[in-house]
Amino acid sequence: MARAPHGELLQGTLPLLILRTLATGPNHGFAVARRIQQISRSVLRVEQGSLYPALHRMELDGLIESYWGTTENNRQAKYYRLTRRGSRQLASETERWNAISGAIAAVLQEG
Amino acid sequence: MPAWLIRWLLRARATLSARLDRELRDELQLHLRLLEEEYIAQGIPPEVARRRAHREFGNATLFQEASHNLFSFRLLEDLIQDLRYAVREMRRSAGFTCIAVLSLAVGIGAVTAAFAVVDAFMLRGLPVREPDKLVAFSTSDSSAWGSWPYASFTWWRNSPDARFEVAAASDVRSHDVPLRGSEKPGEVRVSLVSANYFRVMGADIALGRDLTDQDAGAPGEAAVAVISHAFWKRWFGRTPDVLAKTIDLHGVSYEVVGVARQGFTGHAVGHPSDVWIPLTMQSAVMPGMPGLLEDRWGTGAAWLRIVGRLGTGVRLEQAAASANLIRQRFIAEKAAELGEGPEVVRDRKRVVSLLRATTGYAPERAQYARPLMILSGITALVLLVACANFTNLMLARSEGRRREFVIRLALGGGRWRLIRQSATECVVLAVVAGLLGLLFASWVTALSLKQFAVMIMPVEFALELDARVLAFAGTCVVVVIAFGLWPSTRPARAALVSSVYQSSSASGRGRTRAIAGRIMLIAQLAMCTVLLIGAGLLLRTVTNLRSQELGFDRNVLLVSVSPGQAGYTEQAGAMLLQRVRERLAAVPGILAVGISGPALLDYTNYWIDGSQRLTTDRGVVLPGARWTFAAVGPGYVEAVGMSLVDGRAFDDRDAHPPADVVVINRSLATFLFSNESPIGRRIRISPRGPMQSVIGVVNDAKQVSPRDRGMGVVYLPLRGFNRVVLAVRTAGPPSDAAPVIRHQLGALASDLPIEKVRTIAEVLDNAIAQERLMSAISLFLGALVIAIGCVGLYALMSYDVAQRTHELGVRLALGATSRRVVTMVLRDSAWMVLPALAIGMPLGVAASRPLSSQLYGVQTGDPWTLASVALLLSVVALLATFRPAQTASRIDPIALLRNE
Repeated sequence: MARAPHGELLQGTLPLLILRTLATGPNHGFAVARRIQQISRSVLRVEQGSLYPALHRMELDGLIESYWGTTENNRQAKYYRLTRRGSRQLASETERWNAISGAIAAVLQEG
Repeated sequence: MPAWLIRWLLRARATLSARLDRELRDELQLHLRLLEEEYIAQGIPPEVARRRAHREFGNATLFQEASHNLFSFRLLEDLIQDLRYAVREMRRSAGFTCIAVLSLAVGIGAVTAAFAVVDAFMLRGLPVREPDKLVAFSTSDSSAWGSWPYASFTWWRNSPDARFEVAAASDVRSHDVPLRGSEKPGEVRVSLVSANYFRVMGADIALGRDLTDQDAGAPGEAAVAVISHAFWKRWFGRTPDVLAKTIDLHGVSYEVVGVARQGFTGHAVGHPSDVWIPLTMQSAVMPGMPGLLEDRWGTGAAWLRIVGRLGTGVRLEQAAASANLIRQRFIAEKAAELGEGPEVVRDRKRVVSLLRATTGYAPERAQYARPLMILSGITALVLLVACANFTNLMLARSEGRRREFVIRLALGGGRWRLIRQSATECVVLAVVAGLLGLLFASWVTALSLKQFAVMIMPVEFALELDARVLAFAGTCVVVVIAFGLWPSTRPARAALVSSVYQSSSASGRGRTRAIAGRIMLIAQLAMCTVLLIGAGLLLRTVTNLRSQELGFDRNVLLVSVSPGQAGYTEQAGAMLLQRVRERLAAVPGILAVGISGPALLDYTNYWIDGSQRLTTDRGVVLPGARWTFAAVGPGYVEAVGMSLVDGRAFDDRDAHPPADVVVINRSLATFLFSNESPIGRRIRISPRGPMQSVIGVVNDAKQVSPRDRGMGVVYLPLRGFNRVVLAVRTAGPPSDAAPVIRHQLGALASDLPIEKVRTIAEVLDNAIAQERLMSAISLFLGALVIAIGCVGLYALMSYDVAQRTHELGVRLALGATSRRVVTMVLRDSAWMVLPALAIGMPLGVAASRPLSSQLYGVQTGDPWTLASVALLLSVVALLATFRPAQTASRIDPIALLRNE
């Protein structure tokens, strides 16, 4: 679950965010969280309690796969990268998200 | 690959490897470090940074657990963990484990063994196709398979309107067949069968071919044989080219044309056939009885068993009606041909009945069914005792672990999980006991069968641990688990926090446990009592049978010889035996020699039928059931040691030629003639026989069975000399005389086969073999049960003393003598034995009611037996309590109070 510091809840979008982040390149869990935070300008901050279960669940679902690598500081880290199924999922989820958010925006505008 | 499969594989791999936890931990640790470094990079001091990172990170363990659950099969993992834990606990309390498992294994094994025997002997169907369709033809309203002449078989076989198909088979008989490469002949069990035997029985041929109608062609032409699978293994070593090998029987070579499927040994249960030969070879296989196949009208010997297979959709009643119809038709033909004699009238009245033959032919079933069921009941008792023991042991142990469970619950262990863990322990114990029990069962059954074969009669069963037996053993394991589940899960279910703080000797706590434990033990000991009463009664029966007054001497040798089988005619046989008698009597050390017909105490030799009546010269008629007759020669009465009461015994005048005189025993004399002297009076033993004079009266002697009481016996002069028994009275021990007798007999007639040489004592033992076996088995089981009970009592008492150490210590400190403490312990134990006896005695007397038909010389409520059992149980209880009492007496109150 990604939660804004002011309590905005966006359920179920974390996997989508992770997929998008990993689409730019494989990375380990900490880096993925930091990147989401960075790009959203700290609006979305990922908590550890939701990050890792999400990552592991996605791995079980075959959307991402893991391998052990080393960081720049030569530390052992578990890296994740997108699978083919994952990129397919990313495309379809992005489309769906855009459709929904567009519809919500339309309703809010017109009222 | 489908998504679910990937997931499943990953999870399976994770469950079985230990890597999962390590990887999860490493991943989370890295995140923590990176977080820390971030803070440090922001200028926060390292200590503060680390603490902040931890705080922000949250409960790492919880995350790890959550991910772990995602990745693995939790249930399977838990199960593996529970199993490991159970095994570890078992090893830690090895003593307890051994006792529990062994006593359970014994109980399960005994019951399973009993079931295996009952199944093989009574319940299992023949290994053929659709055994429910098999029927046996019986001659009258009896439950036994009948014997039929060949003509009966042909008339049922040849009738086109029969609603069944019949096959015929002779009873299995052993023949000596020359064994290649050995001096001694081998033993082959042969059965003569009709050509369609295998087809009607529904037995498959594994190798070669079945018997065909060509084989049933002209008599004497089809020298072929089908052999059993076991025989193929035993005799031919399972060579692949067994077809076209031959078996030589009485000078004729039989070619092996087929091998039956494994497991099929004929229709007789317990008496397997090795070789099946076509009926038409009858004269060659049975040289002493030629011409049985030429019996056109069924007036000759009845020597065949007839088996039928019901036609499709035919019910038993319909088939029986059909069989009777055909038979009446045949009898009408016979009457037309031979005239309406009295036999025909009798034939017409008889009704043929069909019996279900699903479980094959086993004449011993009627005799042994009851003892077998009794023994099975006893083994069930053994299992119950073992289960009660198990419950008690589990109770004791779980009590001791109460604290452990409370602590674990407090630390956050799920209650359900803990219950599951305890239950797993119980299940593991039961399963291990079950496996051991199966081993024990196979050993016990093998041993019992061997004993049975040696002591009573040679029978052979296929006693494998097949699916039914395994299922039965599984059921026993489930029963055991049911007994153990409640006490083993008790601490997990009922653990209270307050118990941790109470000292171990507080009263009130563990009340339920104490009472339940005691009740279990009393129940156990009561069942012990019941079993011991049964065993005791059987033991007394055996001793009574053995040591009773027989009416003759036990040390007399009985030598069975068969001049008829060696080819002697009646005349020649009679003369030979006369010479034998004279020769043996002349040997120093031999006091007397007599001859009789078939042997004593072998009830199969006697015909006791209700329809023969005794008539005296004054017309008193005695129905047949209470008397029998025996043929004896001159000198017999003296040789075996019967005592004359009146008149004289037979001597040589009465033998050549056999005169119309008889000797009767005292019971018969009293019955027929009351107080008058029977000497000179005459009786007739068969409706068309002559009147015979009574020349002597002897004291009652057991003739047919050791249980004879008041049975009348008529001794007739010996007329037939085909198979006789020589009774030899010796001065010294009979075993010394045996070789001498053999030598003498060999010298006189080297071709005379000597069948058996036994003393009367040995014959008696043989006659009571069934009782002896039953007694031995029940004593064995009784010993087992006492051992289990003793161990249970010991465990309970030791535990009690350990629990009460504090209390007893205080008492000792307050001035009680150690003798008083010991008395307390003993009294405690007595308070369990006495109720057990109070319950067990009447129960035992009631439960041994079904035994009463087996008993001899004792009643079910015999006071001596009851007293001995009470004494035995008390002694055993004393033994079991000895050690705990000793421990109690050695309690050092000062050391105890110091440790508080």
